[in-house]
Amino acid sequence: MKKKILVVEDNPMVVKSLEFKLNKDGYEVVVAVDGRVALDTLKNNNFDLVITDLMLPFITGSQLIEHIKKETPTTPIIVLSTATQEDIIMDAFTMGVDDFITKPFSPNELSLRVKRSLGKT
Amino acid sequence: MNYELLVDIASWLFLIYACVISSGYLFAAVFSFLEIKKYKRENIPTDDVTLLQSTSLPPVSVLAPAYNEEANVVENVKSLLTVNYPSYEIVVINDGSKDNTLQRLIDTFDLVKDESLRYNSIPTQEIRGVYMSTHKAYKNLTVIDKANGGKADALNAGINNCKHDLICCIDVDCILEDDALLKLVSPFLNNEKTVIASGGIIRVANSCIIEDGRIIEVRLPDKFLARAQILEYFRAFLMGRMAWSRLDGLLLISGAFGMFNKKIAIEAGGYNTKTVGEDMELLVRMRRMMREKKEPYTVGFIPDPLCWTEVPQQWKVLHRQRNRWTRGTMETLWIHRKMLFNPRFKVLGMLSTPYWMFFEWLAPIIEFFGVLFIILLYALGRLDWTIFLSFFAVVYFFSVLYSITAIFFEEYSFQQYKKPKYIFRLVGTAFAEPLLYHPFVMWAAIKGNIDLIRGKNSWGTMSRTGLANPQKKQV
Amino acid sequence: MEKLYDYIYYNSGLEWIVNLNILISLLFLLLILLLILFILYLRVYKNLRNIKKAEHIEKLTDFINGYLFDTEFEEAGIEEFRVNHVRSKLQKKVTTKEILVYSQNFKGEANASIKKLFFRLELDNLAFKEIASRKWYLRARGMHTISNMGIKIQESTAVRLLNDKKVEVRLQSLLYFIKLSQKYPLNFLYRLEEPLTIWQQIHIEDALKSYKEEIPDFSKWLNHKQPTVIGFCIKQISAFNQYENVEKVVPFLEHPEERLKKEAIRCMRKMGNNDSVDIVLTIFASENNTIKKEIIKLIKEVGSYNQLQALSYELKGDNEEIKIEYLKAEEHFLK
Repeated sequence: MKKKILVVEDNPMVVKSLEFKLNKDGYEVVVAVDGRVALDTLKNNNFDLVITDLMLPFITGSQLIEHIKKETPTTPIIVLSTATQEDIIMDAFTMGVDDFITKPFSPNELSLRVKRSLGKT
Repeated sequence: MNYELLVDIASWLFLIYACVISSGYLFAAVFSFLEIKKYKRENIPTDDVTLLQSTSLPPVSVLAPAYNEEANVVENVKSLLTVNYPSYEIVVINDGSKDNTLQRLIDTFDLVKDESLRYNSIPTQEIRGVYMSTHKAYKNLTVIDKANGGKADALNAGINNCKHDLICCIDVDCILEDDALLKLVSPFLNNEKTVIASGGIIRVANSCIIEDGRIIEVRLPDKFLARAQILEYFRAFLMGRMAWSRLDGLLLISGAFGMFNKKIAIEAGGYNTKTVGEDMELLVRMRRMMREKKEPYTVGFIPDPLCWTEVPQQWKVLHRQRNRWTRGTMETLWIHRKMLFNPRFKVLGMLSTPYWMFFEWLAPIIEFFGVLFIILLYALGRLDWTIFLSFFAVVYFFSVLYSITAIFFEEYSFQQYKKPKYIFRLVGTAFAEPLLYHPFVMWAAIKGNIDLIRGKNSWGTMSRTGLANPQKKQV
Repeated sequence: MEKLYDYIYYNSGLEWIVNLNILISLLFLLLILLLILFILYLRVYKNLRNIKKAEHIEKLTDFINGYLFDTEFEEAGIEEFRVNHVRSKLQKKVTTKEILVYSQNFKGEANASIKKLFFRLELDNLAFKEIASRKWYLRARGMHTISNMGIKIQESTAVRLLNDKKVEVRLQSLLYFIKLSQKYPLNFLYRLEEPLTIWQQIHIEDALKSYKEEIPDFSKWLNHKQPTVIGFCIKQISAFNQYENVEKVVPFLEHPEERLKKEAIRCMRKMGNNDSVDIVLTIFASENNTIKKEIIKLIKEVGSYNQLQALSYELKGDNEEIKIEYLKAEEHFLK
């Protein structure tokens, strides 16, 4: 059974690349371009992993993370964000995310981290 | 009465006034065109990633006065919290609302009273309490509760109680574009001279599909009144302010969305609570102060739509708004009358303020007397219809030309009305506007003058429908 | 012209003004119609261009993603793509832009691959043409491409663009120097004659973050003739914890320029230097509120309660703002 990943990201280029790469890696990828679409998608689907940015239109990334942790606490979350400030990263981990990758990022590294986070469950 | 002579004199006066207006129009069109072109060029691919990560991007305090906004304040604040900017705080000032505005905020955002000492640089009405959130997600939200004092007073309270050096004054129900703050702050970063303020283009939000504080789809309103105002905004922003910005003679930064250098605003004395045109008056006063101190400075203008606001859709509300704008203009011009034709104030004194006086303030009055004159002639049986109609044709086609030019600039630059049928409707509105809309606005301006002379100085109530549109979804 | 004048003034029956008015009205009407036609034309033109652009971007992203991630991607495909899809000016411009976006979002192997692709598609030619252009926005764009792709250009050209009269070009040139320099990324500061805007400073800071070599000694430019450069260096000395340079910043605590004084005090605060407190106490009385507030903040963080009390005379004065700052600092010590 293919693992299902939700990618929440509003940058169209990053979205397409992630989709391509993760598909190549053998995962099923669903894309949400903002926080609201993400919430809708989460309502109707179960995911094995969520990759999300922090700065999203409509709701903040942290609100999305809180929601996921409440509804499906076992789903691993990887944050992919431009934020490099220590307090933001610490806050994310405090909220329970599995991994935090800063942009610019290495797609190969992301692949490995995805594998690792999925392997844990 | 020598009829021929009278008509001749009137004709010549009319011609002169018309020539001046036409050349003004031409200059405005040329300057605006150049400014738009320049701005488009300046949009080199900049590293947005860089900017958003930068700790050097100056933090901004966003000030949002609120009065009786219980219906929408929570939603509006939520949308403000998701703006793309690395470091900013939101200060909502509850200006003695009679409804549950404050309570809604306290409940939704887990606010508690903050007891630290504060210094009030600008005197305001009594501050009843300052509230901050206990919730980590809302740590950059501050709410000030104060006794009612009007928008200017509320903004001053916000200025007193905010942390950062740049203040961004907005109307709480304005919808901001994602990168609005990033764009609005750029003149402050890129200029070698001191930048005292910056503003952008305001768009009409009526009938647009808005969800969770963001514009999903831009639509043209069905109501003629709203469409006519869209044309007005096009003319004012795409042709008026751009040209003035190029000349560095901008007198007005919209109260709906503008950024100011806090220190200079405080030095100038903050907002003037005794005028209804507080946004214009502050900028003029700040400019005047810098000029008098002989310090080089500039005012930035971003030729980019940054903010969407609701415009009145009922004639009565529109009348009140225009009445207030006229009184505000008059009050500001009167307070700073020393600047008129004063070469010491350069562009401001020799071009901007005279322009506002003769064409923004005086124009409706001249028109009104023109109309009275025509009626008088008619009553005396002396009205020559051919002459009258020929004048009317000139004025009418000129107005239409001005609007169409503004629509053209919109097409050239932003093209925010995507469907072609919208443009056709706007063109149609341009033809109807001088006949159906303009006389009404002119009358509101006349009434404003009369009211001011009679001593009225209130805002009147603005009934907002809360950007209600049938497509609004609830999450 | 004569005929027109005659016509206007002497035409049968009607006043001259009426004729003039009719003429003007017709002129306006003509302009209106022309503008409407122009609007329609613009609409159609822009729509077509956007469609073309979208199609191209779609093909391009598929191609680039394939090139980067598809293990079965064929090298021959690159040449084929170049010949067929990177020919027109628009295509070259869009392709360059997209490749830049990729290079800004990816690092590591993907980033290196993207840069290789850039050269294989011969887009460097476009960039070289642009920096030699007379139009400022093309020069800036060309430099932007060149610095992001890591292309080395002639030193003299780079220095010329560094002091270009347009600030946007200067910004891109300065980024070029930082990104491409091997050991001394900020040496261009020696050759900078124009002020350093905050925008530029933000970009320099960002570029320094990803700089792998040793961070330069910022004290080298503390005697630059541009105060903006000095202010920037002071800020960076504290940002990069260059403790060995603190003593060189101390003289600026008494500098006549307010901006530099403020930066120096902040620097002392961030570096935890409490020797500076005694110096600022001596100058306190003659400073304006902005500087006084900074000084109090400094004492609060690195000074002692005794040192704060040296300013207690302010409580008896009428400087309300400073009184409150003093009290807030006192609260902090007495907690």
